[in-house]
Amino acid sequence: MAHAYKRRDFIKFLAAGAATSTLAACATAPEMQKPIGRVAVIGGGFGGAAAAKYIRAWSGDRIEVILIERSNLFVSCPMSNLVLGGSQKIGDITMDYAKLRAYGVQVMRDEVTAVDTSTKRIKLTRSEDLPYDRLVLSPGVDFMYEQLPGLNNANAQESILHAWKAGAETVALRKQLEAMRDGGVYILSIPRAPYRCPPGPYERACLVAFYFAQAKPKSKVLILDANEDIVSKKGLFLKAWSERYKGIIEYHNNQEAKDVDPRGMAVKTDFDSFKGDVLNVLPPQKAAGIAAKAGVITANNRWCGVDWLTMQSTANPDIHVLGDATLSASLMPKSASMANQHAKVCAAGVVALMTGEPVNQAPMMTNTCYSYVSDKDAVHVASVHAYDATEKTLKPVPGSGGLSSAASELEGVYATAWARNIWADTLG
Amino acid sequence: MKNVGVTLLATAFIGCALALQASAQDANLGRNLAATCTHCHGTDGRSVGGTVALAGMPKEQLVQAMKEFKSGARPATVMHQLSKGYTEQQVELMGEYFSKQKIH
Repeated sequence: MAHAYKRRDFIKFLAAGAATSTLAACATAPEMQKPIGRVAVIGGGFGGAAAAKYIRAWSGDRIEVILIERSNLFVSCPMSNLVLGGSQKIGDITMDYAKLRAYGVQVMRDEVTAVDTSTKRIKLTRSEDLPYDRLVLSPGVDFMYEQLPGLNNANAQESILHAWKAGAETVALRKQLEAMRDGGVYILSIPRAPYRCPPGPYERACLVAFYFAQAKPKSKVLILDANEDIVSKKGLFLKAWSERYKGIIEYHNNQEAKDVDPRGMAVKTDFDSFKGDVLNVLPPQKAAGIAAKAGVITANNRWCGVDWLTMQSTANPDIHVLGDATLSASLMPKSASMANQHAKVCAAGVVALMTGEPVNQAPMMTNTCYSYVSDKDAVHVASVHAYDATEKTLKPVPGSGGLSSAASELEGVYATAWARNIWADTLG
Repeated sequence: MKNVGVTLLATAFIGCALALQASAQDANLGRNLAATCTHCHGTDGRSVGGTVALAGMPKEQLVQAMKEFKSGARPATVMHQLSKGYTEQQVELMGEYFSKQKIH
């Protein structure tokens, strides 16, 4: 209704001395203002898209937000293992960015080639340089193929897939599984933690085994894990493997892939070589290349350290880093839920810094991470993280969080509800 | 008369600024806490399905539900674990925020 007032009526209304006049002034004030600055967001995944939306919403549309994403489609990594298992199609987990425009987010389909942090300009493949006041980087991960020499070329990467970024590779891996003979061996190679989605590989093993049990029951899933033990939801996955997929899934710990032989179809570890019919190798991961170009890699040449109050890079306060590219806080997984929570702490921080409001000194984040163990049954791990002012990081709240007691169809329903709601919370 | 109008106008804007300043911290705390729920319960609690819609829920109802999740009185798959991560004061703040959100 405030919009309906004409300026003359508005002043008359104020002059009447009504106590409620402050409300009218507050409601109309943003319309009178020009944008107070421009935020560029690089990367339209769970972190970047949510940050773009929430900066618009929480600034009352006062901050201009430009989201730069190389793809015109958003393909969800969560739920993508169901596509491999055959119970979902790629179209079920594919969305676009159209609804973000309703929030006033300007979505640019382009590729960032460089960031000049001294002049605060982004260089793009298709468009002219883009100046920004603050930069949000949610770049995801790149694969460290240099650690797997046989896989460090485009040809090999066409046949030996990771499918750890959902999309074309998810579809291609599913086709490889469909083409495999009954009695074949599917090898899943897991890198040392930290990597994107800690329980993801074990969920994938379940869903490939689910498919094999139905379609080609003589086949095997061979897990080669670089880690000493199952990284996440250990008891729940072991139970699924022994009860649901007995004789199909075989697990080997301490078997870090050191090389891949695409011709011989083998994964080589320190002392062994494992031959398979389908090789699915998840290479070690690091913050995606643009993070290095922007100068915000701070840990082990791989990850980006952040100030957890605002998600500002510890290397550059003009840049906020979100999602899997960050140097994770203690017991904080690289998950979609966490990226969503990073986005909200970032949005609150960006708005506070640009408007001069106080920065929240007590941010909280929750993680809810579901894994399917079949087409219908799922398990979860959940945690609540609170800021510790002394240690300047987020730590799990003692006594909170935990795992499912057992896999269930009800949790499978909740897992799908989680996906639908986080997609909506991310994309509008 | 003209001067009185201008003075009142100025007063109104100062009042607005002060009101914003005074409420900013508290309002944002509730908003920020509520935002830790919304990847499952939908933006501002407007669930798109499969989880309870928190938008427009009376504050007392949300506070009571969280108490019962914490104590175990209310059966849950995950909320008994998540509710234990928040203090009563934090739950009150998020309840306040959700109660004021539009359902659609």
